[in-house]
Amino acid sequence: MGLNADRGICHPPPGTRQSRQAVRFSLGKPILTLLLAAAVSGVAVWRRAGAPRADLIVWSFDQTHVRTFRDPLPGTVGRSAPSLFDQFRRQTGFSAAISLMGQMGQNVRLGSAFMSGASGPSAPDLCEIEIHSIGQFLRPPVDDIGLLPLNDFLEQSGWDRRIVASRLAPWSKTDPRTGRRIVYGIPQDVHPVTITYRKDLFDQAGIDPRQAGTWSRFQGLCLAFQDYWAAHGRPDRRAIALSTDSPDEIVEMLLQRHVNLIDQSNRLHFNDAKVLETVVFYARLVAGQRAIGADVSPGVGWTQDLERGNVCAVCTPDWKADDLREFAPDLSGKVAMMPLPRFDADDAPTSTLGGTMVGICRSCPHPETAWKLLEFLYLGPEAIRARLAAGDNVLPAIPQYWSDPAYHKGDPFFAGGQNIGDMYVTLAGQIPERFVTPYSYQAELALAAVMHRARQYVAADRRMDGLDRACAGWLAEAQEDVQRRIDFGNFEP
Amino acid sequence: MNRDRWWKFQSRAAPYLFVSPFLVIFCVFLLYPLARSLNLSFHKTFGPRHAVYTGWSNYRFLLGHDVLFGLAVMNTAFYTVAFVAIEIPLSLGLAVLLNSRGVRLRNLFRFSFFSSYLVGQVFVGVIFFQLFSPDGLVNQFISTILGHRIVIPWLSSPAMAMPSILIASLWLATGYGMVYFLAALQAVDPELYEAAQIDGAGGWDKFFHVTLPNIRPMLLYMVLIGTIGGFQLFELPFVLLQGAGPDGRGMTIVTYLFIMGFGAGDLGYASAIGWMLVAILLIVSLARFRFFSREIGA
Repeated sequence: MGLNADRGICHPPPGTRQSRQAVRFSLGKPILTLLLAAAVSGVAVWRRAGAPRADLIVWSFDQTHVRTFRDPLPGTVGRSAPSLFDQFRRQTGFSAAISLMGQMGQNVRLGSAFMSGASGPSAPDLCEIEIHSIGQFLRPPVDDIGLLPLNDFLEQSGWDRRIVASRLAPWSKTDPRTGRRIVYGIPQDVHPVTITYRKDLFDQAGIDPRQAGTWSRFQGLCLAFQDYWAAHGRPDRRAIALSTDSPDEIVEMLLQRHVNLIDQSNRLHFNDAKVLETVVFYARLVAGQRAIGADVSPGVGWTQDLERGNVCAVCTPDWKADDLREFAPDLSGKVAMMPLPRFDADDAPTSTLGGTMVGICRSCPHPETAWKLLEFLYLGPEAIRARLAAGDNVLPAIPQYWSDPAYHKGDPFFAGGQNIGDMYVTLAGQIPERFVTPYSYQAELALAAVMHRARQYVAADRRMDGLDRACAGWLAEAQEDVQRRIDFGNFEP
Repeated sequence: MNRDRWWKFQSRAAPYLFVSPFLVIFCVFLLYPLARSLNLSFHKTFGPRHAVYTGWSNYRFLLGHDVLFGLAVMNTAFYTVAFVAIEIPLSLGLAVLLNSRGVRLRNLFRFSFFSSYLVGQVFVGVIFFQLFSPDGLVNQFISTILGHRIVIPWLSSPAMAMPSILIASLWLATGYGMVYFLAALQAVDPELYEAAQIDGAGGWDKFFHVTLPNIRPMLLYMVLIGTIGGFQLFELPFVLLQGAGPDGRGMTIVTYLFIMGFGAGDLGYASAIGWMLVAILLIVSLARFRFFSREIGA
């Protein structure tokens, strides 16, 4: 066998048996096999018929919603009724399916689909989006947002008058040309916030936190509560769960005072006197000698912290009350609920935390049918009945359903069978308006940074009279930084 | 086509055929995205479809006004220096220990220490997220030793965020470094140790005057890949701290890139961050290579 030295290729002398084989394919059998395998598998993949796609696809990150829509509904006398999807297909002739995915993964996929203008199997027709995530999708000009404006659907169907108006705000953006609010999502909830506390432990200490009325008095009562337990062998016991990291609770307090860090026109309010007062107060709730708050375990670990009495109260939107029942059943009969204390008389006795919307993607080829599905799954009476049957007690954003007896039952999990549904319904009508913009996330990050500095200031036991001035400086810096980002990243003129 | 021409054609075409899979993949998945991201870095974007040309403004804002980018660079640099400074002595110590004939079950220990590397950063992030929670195993262990309940805010305190990341990543990577050092130690000529022994050298003398000089190339290589890996850190802190961490103290350069690209949707700005990372890595690598080549030359 000769060697073609300059190319490094071996080839046999002509006329031999080896040469005849080599002429057919000189690179050798392994390469030939690999090429054939690649060709065959490539053709197979190319010709493979994809699974038939439903007419409408919904993306959700909420397992309860997936079960509610997809699974057969509980019927009478042990027989199950068709699922909501099956009912919709019978009524309209359109099939629907739902995909469950992790929230972060869904955000990335949805963002990529919106940014690339994807349609077809790689993009949904309807999607659920959580309130912390919606801002990122509202950044482009109003006509380029990946979600379809729903104003016309809302007006024609009359739902705009039946849905809690303040809950449409987070999913909307102002059109700078007309000044009109464009609605991109339908809220599924209102999430009023209360405080759930360990009634048994507060009773033992002889303290009734419901008497507080104001946050300042609440702090005083909680300090007395902690003193009692410090004298009874639990010096580590803290009165309430308040994060030293996440800005969630401080934002709740600001909303309660009708302050949005960024309003619907992207105006910043870091320099508002109420923001300064709230940040300084919050720092004293979580640091220093008058601290009553402590961090809790991540995820649903807070339920265990409450059960062990490490913290004895928690701010609870309605979805958290469900978590408590599920993950801390031993607390049954030991907890009670109260409205939020206020700062001033004109503050709301509640706030709002979390929230989910459903929207129609702009790439959806059948927006009319998608709207029908949205109405059927999220707004219609069948949807509310299905939610309740699935054990989802979260209050919908439609007040006409709040009179349903299911939302007014006494709850044996709470001490004395307290009717917490009544409390949530009463507070739901008073929840403050909340706006979300593409810069809300950055504004909350900046607020958290100010909160950390204020907390460190208090923890270092420095003179309190300097805190207000220092904090005002930090807030001004934060406002300047976020304003620069808004100016830099904004598409609108 | 006659046989000779067919042969010549195959001979000429064969190299291109062999190289073409790599070339196609390289061009489609590396070269084109690189060029596209460089182009995007000069635009304000919401995805590639909504792009407004802005010249150097992304870079100007990044270097002149973006305090979060400055924080991300500081965090990453601190992590990298601390990681390299701790990981290399730990890995080397383990390798020396497990290279010693006096240790029984050496292979089992070697595999055990290396196995943590096999699970990956995301898995380690999830595990340590549980371990470091207020009532997690770490706090429980410390409470048991001290005899009273203590809650160290590993993941919620700005001061503890970076130590938490360091502990988790050291747990992950020390075994990996150990394998490299083991290979280097086993390549040291045993006769050098025998000669040192005859000259009356003790254990430390042998380590400093025989072992270290002989494994110096490996030592420098480990510093280089530790530095590059440190600057590229993303998954572990992102999972462990569920984002940027308290007060942004766990935010690395790549985390910030991800937040701006896939959180804010500004791929242009994210591309500019990526190219700044390239520039930083290039400077660090060039400096290391200069040092490296001088050491080898010596």
